[in-house]
Amino acid sequence: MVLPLVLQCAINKNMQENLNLLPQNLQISKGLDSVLKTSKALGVILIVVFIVFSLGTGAFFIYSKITLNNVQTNVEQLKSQVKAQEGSEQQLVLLKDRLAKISSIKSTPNASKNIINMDILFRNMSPSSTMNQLEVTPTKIGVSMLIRSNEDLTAFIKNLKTNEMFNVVNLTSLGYSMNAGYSVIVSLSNK
Amino acid sequence: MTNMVENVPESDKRVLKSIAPLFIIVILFIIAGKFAITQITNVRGQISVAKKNQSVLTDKLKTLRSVALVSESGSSIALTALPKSNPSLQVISQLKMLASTNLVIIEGLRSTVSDGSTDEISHVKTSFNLIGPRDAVTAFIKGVDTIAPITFVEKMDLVEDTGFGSASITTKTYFASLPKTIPTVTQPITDLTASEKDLLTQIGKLSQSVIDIPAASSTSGINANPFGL
Repeated sequence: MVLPLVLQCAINKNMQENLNLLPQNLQISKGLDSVLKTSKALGVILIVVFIVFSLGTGAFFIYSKITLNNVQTNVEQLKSQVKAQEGSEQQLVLLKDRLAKISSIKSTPNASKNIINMDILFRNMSPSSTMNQLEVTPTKIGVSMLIRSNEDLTAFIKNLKTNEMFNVVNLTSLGYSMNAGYSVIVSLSNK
Repeated sequence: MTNMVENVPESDKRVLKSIAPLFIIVILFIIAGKFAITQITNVRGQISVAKKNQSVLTDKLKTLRSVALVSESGSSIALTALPKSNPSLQVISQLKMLASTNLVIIEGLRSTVSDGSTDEISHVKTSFNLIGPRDAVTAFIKGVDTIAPITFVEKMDLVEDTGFGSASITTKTYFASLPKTIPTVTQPITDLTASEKDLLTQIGKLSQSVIDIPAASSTSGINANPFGL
């Protein structure tokens, strides 16, 4: 086949260039072509990543569901075991409730402590000195005494001074007679 | 319409053809990702709650098994020390026993229930006169602290003449209603603390009344009022 001369010259001239036989309206630029290739490759990669992601999350979801079922089964078994111990639980709750209330009661002021410790007021005193009257409340002790000798009076005052239970001591009355001795009325409080 | 599509430049068509799958995949990613994350977060949350319940129940079961004996005897002791109803009879019985032990005369016993209750704790005031030597009266007063139900001396007026005392005494004895409910199954329960064990030992030493009081119910099954009799 003999080509026309003009066409042969054109072919020779373009031997170094790309041959494009597409119609002009179907041609795209080189930059756009590379962008399209990249986007296609990116599309493939994204599809692969999506499939891997879907499979991974699916597998993780199934694993989580199985774990949840196992734990819930175990919880139900434990619940039935705890319910079987309900009698012990009631007794423990009752015990803790009582102990909390007893602890609260013990912390309230009462006269017992004052009465038990009032002996310290009469230390080192002779039996001849007597207590006429004693009034004890949770916060106060009132004592009326007949003290026969100076030594007993000294011991009583010393006991008042050294006691650590009451920080307020009021000497309400102090009388003296030759026959009876000292008549003392003292009020102690811890206000 | 067909003409409009044919008139679109080829470069635009190719751009659309390559971008459209990308766009679709991204949309799928967003939808599937959001759905998957929601579902997985939900399941993981349920697992977290279930594991917490499992841990609580395991500890609770262990505690209940270890304190079974202590709580059985302890609740009985504690109920004797702090009864659920008016303990006037037990107190009067205990005070008479105490007076007999200390060789003092006890008379004029009267008991009144106080309305001044706090924290569901009520008390009974018992007043009486005590006649005897001062040492015996003091011993009696000291003994009041050692009786069950828990009783304290509220007030004492002692008049003494030649070593012989006459005391007007008011004691306070406590009682409290029983708890109305028990914790739910998954609610944690703790063992007795050291201070609670110490307190239990202390109240275990209190002298018991000869008058019996009924023990708390320990029947199985869930009761609306588990401690009710």
